Amino acid sequence: MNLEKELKGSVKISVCGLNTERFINICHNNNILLNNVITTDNGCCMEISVRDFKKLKKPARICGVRIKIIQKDGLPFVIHKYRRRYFFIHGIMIFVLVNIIMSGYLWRIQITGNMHYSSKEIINYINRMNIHYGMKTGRIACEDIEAGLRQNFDRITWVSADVNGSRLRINIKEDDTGKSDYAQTAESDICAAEDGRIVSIITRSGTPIVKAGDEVKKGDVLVMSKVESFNESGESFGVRYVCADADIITETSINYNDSVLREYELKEYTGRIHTGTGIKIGDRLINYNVSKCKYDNYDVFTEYKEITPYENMNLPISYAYFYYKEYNITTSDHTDDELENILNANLMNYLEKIQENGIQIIQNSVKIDIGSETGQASGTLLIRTPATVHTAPVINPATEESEGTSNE
Amino acid sequence: MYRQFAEDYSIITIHGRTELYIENFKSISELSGECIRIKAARELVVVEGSGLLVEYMNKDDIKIIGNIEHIRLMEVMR
Repeated sequence: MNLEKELKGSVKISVCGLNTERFINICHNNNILLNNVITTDNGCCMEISVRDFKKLKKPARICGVRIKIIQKDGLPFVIHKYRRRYFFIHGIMIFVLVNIIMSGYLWRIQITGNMHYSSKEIINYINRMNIHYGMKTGRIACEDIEAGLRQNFDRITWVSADVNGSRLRINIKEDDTGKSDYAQTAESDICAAEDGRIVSIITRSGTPIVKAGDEVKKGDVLVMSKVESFNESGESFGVRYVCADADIITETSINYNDSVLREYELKEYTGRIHTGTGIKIGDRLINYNVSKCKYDNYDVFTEYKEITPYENMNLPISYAYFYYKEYNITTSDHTDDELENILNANLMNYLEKIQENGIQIIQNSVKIDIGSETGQASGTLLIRTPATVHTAPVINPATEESEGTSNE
Repeated sequence: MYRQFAEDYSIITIHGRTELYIENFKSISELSGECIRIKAARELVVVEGSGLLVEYMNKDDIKIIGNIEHIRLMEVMR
């Protein structure tokens, strides 16, 4: 399809008469472009543009030929056909206009390459920089975004931001060497987080005060930030403060208590579900259901479906679906085995949870006691934990002679 | 020199048996599906075949398509 031909419009005409060749030659001399000239029984057919068609009157009169329009094609004829359909034409015009206007605003933020920081976290930061959906793209300073992200997110090593149409693209590269955000850099001591006994201590920087086997209390300094330097004769010639760093394992015991009642209420869902819909605007939830659920006992499950025109663009409006699930309550008693199983399961969950934090369990002396009304699990757990805390040094480094803060 | 050449001669290009271009032609003498006679700069070009038609024609050149069987160049009486 020839786009220019469609836009300008063309007509297919039939030329009848004796001097069709002469007519064609005159058109040629008048610089009139003819397409698809086909001879027919009583003349010829050809295609011609709308603009050139208006010039045919004079050649036709000179040659004595008759011109008849067979077919009309192109945009000018479509517009003419729908010229009285005002709303349709105005609708198209408004659509195009709205598209042109809206393309100058920010409607999408696309973040790629982020592994450590979530997209929401980065978008929240960008929003705090007064960059939000619906603002003019011309007002977005990409350099400021790049500088701000590099400054406020330690793990980001490289960032590029650019505006592409109505989309803000942020490409991030993060440092994946495992550096902690909370790495200590200032001078600090290491103190005990719990009462216990030191099992092992490996000091990388600072002066260790305790050794393996020592009993410590919570808050005791284990490794000092103060490092003294001695000369060959054993005299101190300077003090410096470092960020104390050590791997310390402390053995400590913790108490464990858990109890479960023998009598319990069993919730049995009947399978009857009453559904309803609503809408959530901001923090306000509107329930459409005028007639509320008539069940005596029910749980309400609410499911929200956010309206997201684009990937990260969440409008403050979301659909809400309510599910009222009916249930009956029956009172029953646990058997001894059931109580023991529940208490054991609770204990195992607790142990798994603390082991996830790097705590090693050395001894488990929790005992389960089943009574007539309750089942109880109690006892102590002997654990080895690497938990320590950094605190500011006891002596202010400014008051001491300092040789620097390097730990090397 | 090129201008002189362009005024005095026509350039005839044929692609296979289906397309023929004539640049710098003067007029059409005869037009039908079997025979098209075109006055070129110095000669008369006679194209014979079947299903012949002029695909486009403007001030400078003309394109003829169809099943071309013969092309003859004839002297034009000046």
